[in-house]
Formats: sequence, structure tokens, C-alpha cells
Amino acid sequence: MTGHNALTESSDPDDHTRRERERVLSLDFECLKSIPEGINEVRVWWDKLLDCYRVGKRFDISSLDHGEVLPEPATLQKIRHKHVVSVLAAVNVKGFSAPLRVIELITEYYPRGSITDALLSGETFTATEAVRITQAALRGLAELHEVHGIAHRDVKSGNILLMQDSSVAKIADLGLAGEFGANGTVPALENPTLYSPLELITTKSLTRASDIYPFALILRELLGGALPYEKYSRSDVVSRLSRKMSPVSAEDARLPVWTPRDLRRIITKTGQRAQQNRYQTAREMDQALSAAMIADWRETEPLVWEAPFRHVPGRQVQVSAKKKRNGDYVLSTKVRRNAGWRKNADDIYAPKLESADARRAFDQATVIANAR
Amino acid sequence: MRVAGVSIKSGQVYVAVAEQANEPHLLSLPIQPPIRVLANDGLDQAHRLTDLADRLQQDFHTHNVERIGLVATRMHANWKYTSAYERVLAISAVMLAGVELDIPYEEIKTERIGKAVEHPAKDLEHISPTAFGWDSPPKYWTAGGAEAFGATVPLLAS
Repeated sequence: MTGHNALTESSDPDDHTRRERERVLSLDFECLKSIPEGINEVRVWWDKLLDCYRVGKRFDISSLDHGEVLPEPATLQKIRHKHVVSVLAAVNVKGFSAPLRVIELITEYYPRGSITDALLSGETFTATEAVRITQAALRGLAELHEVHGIAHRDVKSGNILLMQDSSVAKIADLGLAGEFGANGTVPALENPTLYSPLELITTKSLTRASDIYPFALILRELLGGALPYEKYSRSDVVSRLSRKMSPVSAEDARLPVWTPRDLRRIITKTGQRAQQNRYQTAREMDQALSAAMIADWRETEPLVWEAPFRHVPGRQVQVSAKKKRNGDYVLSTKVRRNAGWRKNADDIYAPKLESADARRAFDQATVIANAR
Repeated sequence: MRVAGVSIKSGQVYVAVAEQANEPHLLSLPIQPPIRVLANDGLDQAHRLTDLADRLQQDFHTHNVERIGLVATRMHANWKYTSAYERVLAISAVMLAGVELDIPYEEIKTERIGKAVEHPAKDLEHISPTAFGWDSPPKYWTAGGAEAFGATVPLLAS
């Protein structure tokens, strides 16, 4: 590898000898891949010289329209922020015939992987963790947008890496980033994924709000777990976007019944089809999340959920659902102080667990969990 | 040079970013209307501080702020513990954000601001918004924005 500040040729004869234990990282879900054709690989290897792992993302930029709006690697290399994965170097990868033009962006290796990796390994997140991860990524995105004038253009759970320190999460993979024009837009690329906004297909013009749109689905994944990625092909995604529909079905996008009202409102606003109805800046969404009233619900046994009080140590609130003979549910709210569980609010009857009535029971209990 | 005036009211942080105005009738040139930054009530106390500092840092960094001035309180006695705690937490967050970005921080007494803006020190929330180029008060003006913008004037003058 040569050069750290500019796009350079990978002509160093030692290049391959320095890479040990090299392996390709990949997810086999078509709907998560930004560039389906050509070269699109993430490689991790041991850098013997620097005694650490490195990650290189290779991609063929000749397959992209508007390739000319990609920021210079030197620009990407200058971005240094707590919530953005730094580009350490960029190289032109030799050995590919024209018209292929393969470049590799080199970054640090973060062993915890991405949100997608965590979800696929069965990891779950509390609402507090979901909000903190989202806010960290939004702060990284704000840095790209407001300080460097760059659109990410490929925001997705797979591009948000989870940290093991206080930075919580970083936004990664600036390989498809583009510079905003004077009118605040940047051309869309042909990279439809589950996270893509409608304008990728309709106007083909992206704004800051286009990069914020994916956070609706990212929050859904953090709160409700992995989606059935295998169900969605690339052609499904394109087809749904062409019909002005969200790439993800309403059923799969459904939030857990306990999702706090404030988060439901934020997610709804984030995922609006019309750009002007969404949060216009990452900061705006970040601030909204900071003000959200949430509770960390966990299903402790079937149809029983508990959340700790946020400001009173040792106290907990519980919502339990019982199915009645007629198929309806009755939801009871209880609070545990020292002695045991005590009923705290009137029971709520709900025809289904996904119904507005059931959500109302959790909203009421979330307010209780936030009492001081 | 861009500066940030900061006022803290009821634990809420109001930030005004401005630079030197070329027009003689303006006290300073606002970059944007005042912004309000609230501490995240849902976090535990330690994370509440670092989260607030992180968000303030983001705002100072985004606007290339080079100096920070905090409007000093005029209340020197009879504080309730919870009110004092909220103010100290907010001040700590502003200081942390400044230190992280290596931006000089200072506390500015209301008398100094009053002298700079030619307005009574004890009535800074009623500085006229026209002095900063607004025909009518922008959001958060009387809540804390006016004082925050007031603080930008001595900062830019010094």
C-alpha cells in the first residue's frame, strides 16, 4: 500500500506480502448490497507492519453513474470525527481491465462489526441503546453534511459500526459519498437498497433529508430485530420504489408494540415519503431523539414486559397481556416497589397486540417509568 | 471571527452564533437564529453531561466557532439545589465542548454585555431583535436567545 493522502496505484510489490490472514467479509442478502455488479468486496487483513487489522472496501466505480461527483479521497481522508470511520488511504487496484475502475478505501477494523452483523448474530438492543446508536450515527452524518458538504448516499445498518468505547457508533463507508451542489442536492446513484428513499428512483436528486430517511428503518431494526432480508431481492426493492412504495413491507416495518410514542412519532417523521416532511438535518433528528421519553422494555416471559424506572433505582413497571376467550387481550400495568407488584392503572382491552389500544397501555406505562 | 454566546435558563442552553457585522446599525451579524439545546432527561446523570457536551461540541464545530462566552448569572444566592445542579451541569457541558475543540471560553457578566449593547444589564432578554437584523423576535428570543446574542457583542469587540 502506498500513499495516505491521495488516490494512488497499488503498485508496491510488497503490497500482498504485507497482508496476512486476509479474508472477505460479506453478507449474502441482495437487498443490502449497494453495488450488485462488478467488484464489491470488503476485505479484512492483518497489517504486519502496523501490527493491526485493516479493512479495505473495493468497488468498481465505473459501474456507477455520476462517478464524477465522488469526493476526492484526499477530502475523505481529512474527515476526522468521533462518529465517522476515518479513511486512512485509498488506492487504485491494478489488475482489472478497462472499463473497470476498481478503488479500495482503507479504514481501521472494528471487531464488533455493524448493526446488521449484531442483529444477525442475535444481539438485541434496549430503546436507550437504540437511541444512543442512532444519535451517534446522526452526529457523524451531521459532520459529513454540515462541515464537509458531503452526502453519504449509502446510509444503512451495515454501514453503522458499533464501538466498544464511549463513541458508541460510527458511520462508515464513504465510498459512495458525493458532494452537495450549491442548491443542496447531489445526484442519486443506482444503488437501491432496503434503506433507499423514493427520490432515488423518482427525482434521482438527493438532499440531506435523503440521508436521514434510512434512520427510520435502522431504528426499526434496532428496536425490533433483524428483518427477513432474504425475502427481498434487488428487483423487489426497485419495483416497490418505482411504485412509490417503501422498499420494506408495512408488516416487516411494524414496530414492537412497546415502542414509546415519542419514538413512533420520530420514526414516522423520518420515514416520510415526501422529503420536505422529514427532518431536514441530522441535528434536528438528533435533538428530537434527545427529548424523547422512552423506557427500556424487555419481554421477561411470554406476554409479560418489564421496564426499569428511569429515575428511581430498583423500581420497575410491568405490562402483562392475557388473552380472553373472545380473542381480545386485557393489558394490566403494575409497578414493583419494595414489597411486590401492585396494580398501577386501569386495565386496557385490546383486540390485537398490535392495536392502538395495546400501544396505549405501553404509552401509559412508559410515562410511569419516567416518573421521578 | 465567529463567536458563540451562550445563556442558560432553567437548565436549557441557548446558543447564538454570530460574527462581526459590517452594517453600523447591527450589533453583530447572526449566522442563524438562536438554537436551544436540551439535556437528555432519559440518560443517567453522567451520560447526560457527556451527551450534552457532545451535542454542543457538534454545534460549535459545525459553525466554526472560535470563542465561547457564557452569560453570567445575576443570581448569587438562594439557589435551589436542583436548579443549581442543572445550571452547573449545563455550564460543565459548555466548558467540555470548548475544551474538546480547543476554543477559548469565558464567562461574561451581564453588566459588560449591557454596556456593549447599550441596554440595562438586568433586562437583557428585552434587547431589540432589530439590533441583530430581525424585524420580529426569532424563536427563543426572550427565553434566552437575546442574552446569548448580547454576549456575542463584547466577545467580538474584545
